[in-house]
Amino acid sequence: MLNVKINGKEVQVAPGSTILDAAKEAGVSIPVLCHDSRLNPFGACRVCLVEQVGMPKLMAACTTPVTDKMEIITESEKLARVRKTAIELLLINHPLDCPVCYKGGECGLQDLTYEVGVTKVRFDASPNDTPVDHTNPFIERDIDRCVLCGRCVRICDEVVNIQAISFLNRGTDTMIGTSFEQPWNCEYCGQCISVCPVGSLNNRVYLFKNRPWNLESEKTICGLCSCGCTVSIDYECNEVFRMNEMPEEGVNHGYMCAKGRFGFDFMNSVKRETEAQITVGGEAKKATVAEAVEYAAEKLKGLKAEEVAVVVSPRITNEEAFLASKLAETIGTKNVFSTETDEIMPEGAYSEVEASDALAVLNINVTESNPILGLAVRVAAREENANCFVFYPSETALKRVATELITGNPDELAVKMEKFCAAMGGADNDFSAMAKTMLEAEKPVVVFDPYNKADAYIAQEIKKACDKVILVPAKSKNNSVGIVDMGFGKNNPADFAKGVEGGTIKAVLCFGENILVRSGWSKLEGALAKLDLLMVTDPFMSDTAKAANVYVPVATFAEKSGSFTNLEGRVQEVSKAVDKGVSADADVIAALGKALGAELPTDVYAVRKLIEKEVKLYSGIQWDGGKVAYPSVFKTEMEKASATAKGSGKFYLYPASLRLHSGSYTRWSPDLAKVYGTPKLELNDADANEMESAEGDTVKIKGDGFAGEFVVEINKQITKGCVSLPEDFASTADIFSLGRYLKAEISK
Amino acid sequence: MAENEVVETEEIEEIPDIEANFDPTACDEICEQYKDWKGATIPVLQKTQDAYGYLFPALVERIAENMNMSPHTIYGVITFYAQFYTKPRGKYIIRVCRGTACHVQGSGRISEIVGEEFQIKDGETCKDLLFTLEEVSCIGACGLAPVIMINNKTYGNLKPEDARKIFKDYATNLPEA
Repeated sequence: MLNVKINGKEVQVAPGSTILDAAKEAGVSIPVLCHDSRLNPFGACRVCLVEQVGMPKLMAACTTPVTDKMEIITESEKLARVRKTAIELLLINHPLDCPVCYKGGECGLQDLTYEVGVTKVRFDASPNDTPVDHTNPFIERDIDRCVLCGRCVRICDEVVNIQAISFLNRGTDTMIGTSFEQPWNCEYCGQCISVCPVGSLNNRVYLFKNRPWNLESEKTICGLCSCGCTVSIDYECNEVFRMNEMPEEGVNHGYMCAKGRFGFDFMNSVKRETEAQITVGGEAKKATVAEAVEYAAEKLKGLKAEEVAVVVSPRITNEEAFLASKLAETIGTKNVFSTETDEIMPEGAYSEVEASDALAVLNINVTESNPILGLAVRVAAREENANCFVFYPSETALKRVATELITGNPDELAVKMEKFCAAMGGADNDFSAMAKTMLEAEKPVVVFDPYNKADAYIAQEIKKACDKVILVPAKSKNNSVGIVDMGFGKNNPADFAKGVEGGTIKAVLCFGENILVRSGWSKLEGALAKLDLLMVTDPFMSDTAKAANVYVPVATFAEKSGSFTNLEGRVQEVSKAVDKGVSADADVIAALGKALGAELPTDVYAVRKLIEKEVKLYSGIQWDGGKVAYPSVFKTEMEKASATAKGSGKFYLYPASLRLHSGSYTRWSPDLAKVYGTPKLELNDADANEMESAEGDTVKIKGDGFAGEFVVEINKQITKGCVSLPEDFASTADIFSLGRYLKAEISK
Repeated sequence: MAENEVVETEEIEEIPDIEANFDPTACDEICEQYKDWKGATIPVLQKTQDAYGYLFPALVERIAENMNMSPHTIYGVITFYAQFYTKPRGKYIIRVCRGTACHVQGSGRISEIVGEEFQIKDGETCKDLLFTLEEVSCIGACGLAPVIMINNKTYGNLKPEDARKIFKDYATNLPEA
């Protein structure tokens, strides 16, 4: 440890710490602008200059490592003058348009100017006349306001690893931009916005809608995918204005993805329903929630218990799922379903992924399906002595950091993954070197897609061959894990389809699920219409809600309290931020329970007490971040499943993850839907040339048992001879209900 | 109408053949040579620029793909260094020294003459891709002020009209570059 004196106060810090770290330790604040503790030291702004006793030159506190017995002075007349000049110089190239600036009120430069007391700028300011760049659908760029701190460039490089922007030119001509001034095209994660200290990079969804001092914040967990990010919901008068990062907080370290940052606006959507609805004989009638519940309860009383099924969405909270399972108990039915099953449960945590020295990403486009897990993979893979092996039919965004990228059409890839798995078990083949790296690593991690049985089998075999491998099954929705813990993973989802089609299920109570866009369930429309009762709760009039006899509008995750269990198996608290005047699922379930003669609590704490008593895994759980200890990843031995593409045709078709959507829920977000609203068929450029079709053209796809028309999106990264479509759209769910890998013909 | 059309076609700058019919073979070979090297960006850019003359978008994209880098990062490097060019360059590069000694001796007038002869300003290349004008800070031959270089040949103690004669000579005889 090194002894350092900061303003006369002695502190001990580890070797390698900077003066800024030591000052933090000593409780001394040094002003900074370009510094971000999550990024490497840079030293661009010169605002953090400090004096060292006995040294004539001033030093940048954020980049200078401390030495033993160093004496630092952070406040002096000289420093005050230097800092003031540094700010004055920054203001030459920074327009003082604070009243109309998006960042006004929470701007790093504004705060610093105020702090050092610059009231007059002695230099002529450069003109503020460069047109604002709107080439990115979510990020507005005002070059004139940029102070060249480089935080955006650095976070895009060091954390996101996309390098979508760079410093261009040199000296006074330096600016942030893209290659040959091309439109700004990236993953739209908006990390650059979160670190921009000034109003140069702006969130277009929030822009000009409110001012930060009007907003109240509520810390909660994002409910848009399974990553479980800690976010803040910024609201005024029950309207959500933004979902913002909480720097360095949560499992996500304050990072967010496009869905979270730009997709929150569905909460305020005018398309949200406010009134319940009862449909009798094809005629829809508005009703109160109480009337709707009463109607449903009456219908249920006329049915046998085993004729009723309860379906929940992986979007609802643990507490609500628990209440739903209690409701099923009250009714006396064992027909509880969800799209999730309890076959595979979480193991690894983000920290284990980040610290891993050998990662295998098995057939999952993790940066798209689970963006924050993707960031953890990138952090680990970027390390000098770490290895990252990525298996996927096409090239993915992990290409930049991957040690090896193994691609090929789904059939080829399955063979390659099997070979890799065999090599892990000791076989001698092309993948032996890769397997050796994994076996010799200290902290090997395998990320896989738990919804793909063939991959799960391979993950299981790898775990068998090497026990120290930590598995990370990347489940998809915000509470995919939790609803299973609450009892909604026991039954096979296919039995629900059979029950409804076969007529053994006559009433369905569906809490939040959009049955008609799920693979395996998407063709139930006709059968659902024949049910005696279909009760659906959903914030929106979803495809399934339209088919319901009883519909009740419910709250989104910003409007209720509870907890979600993320892909690590970590339970995290969700807090209510706003009230949109609709009930939460919990209230609806409890009301229905009451009508059927059961007293169910709605208070979150009361429900948690019951959960702790009745759900073994959650006894004594810490609700604000405790990790559930699952006995094993696989409930039973997985059987080898075939991954061979079905049918015949020239092209392989496989389901792709979407960066901008998770299931059908996020499509209610106007901003996400504007950029990605309808499913697109991704096609290799060589194949597109052969077919003479260009981006935006409509092509026909036809295979055994399916046909459709889709708009083409050309993607160079797709392997030749393969095409992909997103899941969870009504039209694509029908296709993927037939199988995960299909063969198809494509024509203009 | 016909007249308008002619004017329009004249205004369109012709994309040099090397860019219009981009053949990535040479680029791929250079990148292959530097595969697995650390810090190979600058040598790769230098060699590809030697092979193609200048660094155009498709070429930069290709280099980025081959080197598993972002084209934006590479473009940042290209624009940082004065030695890299993103626009086509002439067969003859006229470097006019604008250092103190040459300035005093009237090198400004020589730049003007280049402009009069070839209708180009500092950093520009004439349409027939023969001449590029570069005003440089000092070429280290102050004793010869005012001094210019055309490719690797140095011409010193120039009177404005001497310079004009040299340029005219190049334009008519087109010596080997």
